[in-house]
Amino acid sequence: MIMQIKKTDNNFIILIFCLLFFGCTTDTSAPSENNPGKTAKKNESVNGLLVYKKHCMECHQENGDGVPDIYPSLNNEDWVGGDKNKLIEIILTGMKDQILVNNTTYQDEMPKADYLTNKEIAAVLTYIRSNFNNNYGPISDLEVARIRIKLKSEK
Amino acid sequence: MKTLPLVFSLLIILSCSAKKDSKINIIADDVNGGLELPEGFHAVVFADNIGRARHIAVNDNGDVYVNLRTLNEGKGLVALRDSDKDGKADIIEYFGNTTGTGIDIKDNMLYYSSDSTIYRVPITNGQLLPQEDPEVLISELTDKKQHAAKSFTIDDQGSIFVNIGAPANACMEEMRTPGSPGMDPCPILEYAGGIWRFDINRTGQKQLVDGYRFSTGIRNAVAIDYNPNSKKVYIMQHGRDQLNQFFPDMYTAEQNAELPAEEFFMLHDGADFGWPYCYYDQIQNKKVLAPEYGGDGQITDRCATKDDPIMAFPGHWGPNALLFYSGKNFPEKYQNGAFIAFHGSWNRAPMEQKGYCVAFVPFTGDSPSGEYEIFAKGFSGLDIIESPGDSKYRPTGLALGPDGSIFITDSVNGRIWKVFYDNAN
Repeated sequence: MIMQIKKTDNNFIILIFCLLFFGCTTDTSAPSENNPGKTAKKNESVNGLLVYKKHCMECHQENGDGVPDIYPSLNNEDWVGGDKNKLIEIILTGMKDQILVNNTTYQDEMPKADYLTNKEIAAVLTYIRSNFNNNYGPISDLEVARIRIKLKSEK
Repeated sequence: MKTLPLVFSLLIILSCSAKKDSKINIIADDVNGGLELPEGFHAVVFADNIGRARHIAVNDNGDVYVNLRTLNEGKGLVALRDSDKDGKADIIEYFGNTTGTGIDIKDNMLYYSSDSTIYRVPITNGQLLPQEDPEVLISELTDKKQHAAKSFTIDDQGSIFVNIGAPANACMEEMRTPGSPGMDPCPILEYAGGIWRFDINRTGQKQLVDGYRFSTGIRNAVAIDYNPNSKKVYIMQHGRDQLNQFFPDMYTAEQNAELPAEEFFMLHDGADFGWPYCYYDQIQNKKVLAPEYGGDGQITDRCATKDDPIMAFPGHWGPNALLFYSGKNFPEKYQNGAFIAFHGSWNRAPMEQKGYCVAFVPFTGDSPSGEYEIFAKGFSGLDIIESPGDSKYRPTGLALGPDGSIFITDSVNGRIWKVFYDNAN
């Protein structure tokens, strides 16, 4: 640098401009995100899985873990492994109450899915109760029918 | 001409000393605390595991305040101080009995929100913690549990702008139920689904008595910031969900993942951005009528008169914080530009989840001057994110430090990064 300063004013000006230019354009563009495809996981209880994918998966996720703070995990003892009648009722009427699942409070409303048939509800609940590290018994369409009639008579 | 070298020498000295003022002399963490940043940028973990962090504010003296989603040690706010100036907090104090999202500091006054109330309390005499009980600035803010986070920003004309998120996806008669039509007009817009303006100096205000609906047709805008350069308020909207789930004949799973855009809005008095009747399709570059209101994914109808976004991002990235940069540390191109923290999507399945990054948008005047780019990534610690619960960190809050660094909060475990620029490091 000292050598160059001893040269003419013109060269010196160029040097200054270079310095300023580099000083002002040190930014770099960030790398873009890569986007490889992905394949869905397979599971054995086909019918329940299909209902799950169509009506439950978006919120409760493919792995049943839910969405932190918004939608609870389906791997839980109190609700999924608890009272079967209450579980069926949640599907038929939805849920507005603030609930505690695995020590976390959830307050977002769950829509009802009473438009599903008794068979579909039985299949999806059986799927949920036997997946996501749950190991609870099946639910029959007769059990669903019984709750649906009971709720109707209470209206 | 003899004086010319002298002039330039002076210029060099001046520009070098200016650079020196903006230089941050701290040592970056080895792997930038897990973040991937553009060349010349570095990060330190300012604090870790402070609790479920939401928004963040930094005082003129560098003290940091964070609002928490859930109580930690029985308290809902955290104050942090880096007294030895090594870039890492060495005093961490919890205070306050409420939890929430919004937080800001202006003229020695700390403002923070729960889902229903905005409080204020003075921070004085270099004290880290407030020495008085908080006052209620605004109460009875709409809190119907869904989209209840009360983010806010304060301008320099005495107003505070509060996000009142709509407790709905698309204002359907039956909440998130296939086949249920949209309510028309949507009654929610009377009390939510917009940005309300209040007086920053008057305590005891109530939303529907003292508040003014400044802009409407906004589903939920957790990301909000006042730009002192353009003197306007900007927000990022969380776009609606479940187009394919409710209308499988109209939208493919791929379209469901990309649509609608996450919209970047510049507010003006009386603006209407169209929710729930309309959404922005960033592939067709236009607002279209929502299917709950008779839309087919193409027609514009009443949406022709709605205000357009100034930029559109891919669907469901979940913008949770917005920050206009006015510090001295970052290179010129970042001046007045916008940083946006994307919390990350949950509803792009069966496609991989996206977002989980901090993006940058260059600005000239009041509008973007170029495309957005990803500024910080690596939060998830994963190559492919299948479900939001798998992500190691999720960026949620942004704030500018007095030295020109920016702070990023994480909502999972409460890590705080301090990001700075040092080309020689």
